[in-house]
Amino acid sequence: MGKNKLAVFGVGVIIILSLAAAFAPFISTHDPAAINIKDALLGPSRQHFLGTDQLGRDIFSRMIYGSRVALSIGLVAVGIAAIIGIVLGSIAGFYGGWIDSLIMRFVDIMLCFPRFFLILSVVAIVGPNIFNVMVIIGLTGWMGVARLIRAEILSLKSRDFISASRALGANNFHIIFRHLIPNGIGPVLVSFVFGVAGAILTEAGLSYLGLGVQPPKASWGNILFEGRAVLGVGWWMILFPGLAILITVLSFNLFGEGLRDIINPRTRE
Amino acid sequence: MVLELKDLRAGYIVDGDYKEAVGGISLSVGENEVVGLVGESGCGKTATALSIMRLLPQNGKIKTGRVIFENRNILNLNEPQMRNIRGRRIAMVFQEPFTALNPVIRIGPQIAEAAMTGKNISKQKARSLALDLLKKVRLDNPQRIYYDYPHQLSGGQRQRALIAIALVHGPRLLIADEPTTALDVTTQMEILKLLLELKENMNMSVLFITHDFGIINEVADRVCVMKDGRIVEEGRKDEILTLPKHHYTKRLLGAVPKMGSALQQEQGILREDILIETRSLAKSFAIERGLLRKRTGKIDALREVNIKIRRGQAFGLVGESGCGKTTLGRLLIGLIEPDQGEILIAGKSLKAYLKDIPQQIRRMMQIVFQDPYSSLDPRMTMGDIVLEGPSILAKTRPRKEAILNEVLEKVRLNIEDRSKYPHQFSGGQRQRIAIARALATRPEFLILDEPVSSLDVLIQKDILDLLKSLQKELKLTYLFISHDLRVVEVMSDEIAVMYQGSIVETASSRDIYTKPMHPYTRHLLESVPVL
Repeated sequence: MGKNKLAVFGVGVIIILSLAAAFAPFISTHDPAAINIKDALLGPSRQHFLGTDQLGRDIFSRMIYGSRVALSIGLVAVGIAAIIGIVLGSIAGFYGGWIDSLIMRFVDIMLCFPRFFLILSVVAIVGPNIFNVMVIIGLTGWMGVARLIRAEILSLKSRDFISASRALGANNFHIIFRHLIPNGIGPVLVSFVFGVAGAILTEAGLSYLGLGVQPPKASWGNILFEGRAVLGVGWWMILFPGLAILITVLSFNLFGEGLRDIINPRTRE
Repeated sequence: MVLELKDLRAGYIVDGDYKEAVGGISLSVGENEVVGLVGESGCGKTATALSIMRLLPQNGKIKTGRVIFENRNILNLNEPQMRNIRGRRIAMVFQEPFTALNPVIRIGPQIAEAAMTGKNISKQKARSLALDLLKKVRLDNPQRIYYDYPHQLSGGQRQRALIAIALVHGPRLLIADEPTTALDVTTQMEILKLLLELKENMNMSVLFITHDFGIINEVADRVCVMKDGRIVEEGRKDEILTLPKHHYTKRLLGAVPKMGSALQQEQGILREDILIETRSLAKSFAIERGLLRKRTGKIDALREVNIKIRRGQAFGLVGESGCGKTTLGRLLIGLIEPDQGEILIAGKSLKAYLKDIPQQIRRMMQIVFQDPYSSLDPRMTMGDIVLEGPSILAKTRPRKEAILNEVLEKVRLNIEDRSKYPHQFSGGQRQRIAIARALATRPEFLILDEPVSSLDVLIQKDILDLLKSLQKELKLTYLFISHDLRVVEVMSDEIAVMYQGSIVETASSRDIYTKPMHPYTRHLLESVPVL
């Protein structure tokens, strides 16, 4: 019961965030990139809801635009990870044998690299921009999905309804798309939601280190990065983007927990 | 009296509502007596046992009543006092010997540990006690088994080890909750005999919970018949078995398949119209070990199997779990490929693996599995499940509707339920759905792989009756696979007995029953708990 309420809270925050991202130009009160040195480092006021940074840019507007970055990085990166993970995991689980060994050993190798440092070094080589960040987070984040779907398919594959379907003359295509994926996708969907939270956090981390989204384009991470320099006088530059990251990641996690309960028939009743 | 229940009411709290599982039952177990508590699944048998042990799960609640054990109402005891009774004075043996042992501790130390809990005895002494118990439960080579892990033992051996643990403190009362349900029929009989022997030697009383009247007949002195949380009839075993009074008891007894039913049947003339034949069919499975999946050995699942199934016949295949009977079914329907040998269908060789089997043959044979919970796709509706075959064969929509109507009527399912999902049906209904799915391609030959083994005895009878009438109506040929000789005998005209991958005897059901030739067949017959 309480858990459900938390999940609803999560969904609510995600919807508000999505609306903010979609209608950013209408919601924001200032041009997020407009520099106005004489308004530098103003605290929260009616003019600037969340204050301004050292170049006089409006933090509220920058954060609204930052939500676009956060959500799009989250969704695109997880989308890339999901496609790779589902395809490789399904192949490994369904065909088994040496194909399975090959794919799963590749997964093991990928998991050997500390992910954040891998991302850092690749970004350093290919250059920090939003597109690269999305792709790299996606390319380094598919292993969990692959393992998950492989395990699902392995356990489903030996179930009697698959045998019954074969006995009715079904081919592999029918079995994969009619039985395996509909039954196995639940936990994977849940992992997507957690994945979005992880991707948003990773992007924020990268931008904080200056290797993510580059100014003047706003992201929550780079607002934090810039705020670090003026921590003593401009607490609002740290507090608000920090809270935004916290609440967003928390909301996705709560939503994921709720989704898991809904999808898992054992906890549903 | 060792144990007396007086108006015991217990239940579970589900979503804030109290749901009664035990509805005011009174029963007693006397000195050195075996009382059988019999009923269908969900009737409250296990809840009764757990109430006595005060081991109901968190949401369980004992409402009223008294549990008098050794002249004390143990419902009034506090938890430490109760712990002195649990396992010491009242012990319990569960159904699943696979989950009740700790997989990472060797058998002997598990027993020794049970012996040492709460008692001040030395390790040495516990060890010799454990060895002694392993001998007592008639495990061969107790010295070796002492150092085995649970997975190294067979199901029967594990159940013996569990009984040994239950007996460490020499309990006054043993509660056995379906202790043989997960075991093969031959192992079951051995365990039952062991329990009776131990009861005598150790002067215990036993509360034996089961759904099988055959087992009741083997072990019980007195019987309590339970239905919907109440005891509907109680009495001495022979009274209940010969002169049941309550109509529910009569129904339960009537549903138990009786051995020797073939004697009453007219023996049909066996025509030489052979539909399915196998010629020295063999199949083995590789045992693979380690990272590189090295073949370290193989298991012969089938060796040189020859059977002939005549058109219109119900051919029974009986054997213990792991004897290869399911492998044979899967080979016949093309789910797996034989290593050698031939399968002939209506005289023509079926030389191919599944994908090459022509659609004509594919439609001709179908299979029904044991477990109606795993054989239906949980995310498909009943209508979609039944029509999966016709959909694969790309039938038109009106054609499919006609098929759906027809087969659902045949298996007596309601067409209005077509958009329900499997979990909304009962076990028996699910098995009907599985049968309907098999019939939807209009097969001639049905492989029934333990189709009633996971069902309660009353539902089992319904399904068997349905299968029989379908066979007559649609002129079907059956291969009926089961570990339960009683069921096979009721269903089949001819029976093949399988043992360790080989057919050891094939004969008409009448001959199997009256003059079994092979020693294994005789052993199997002797092990069947009969009424």
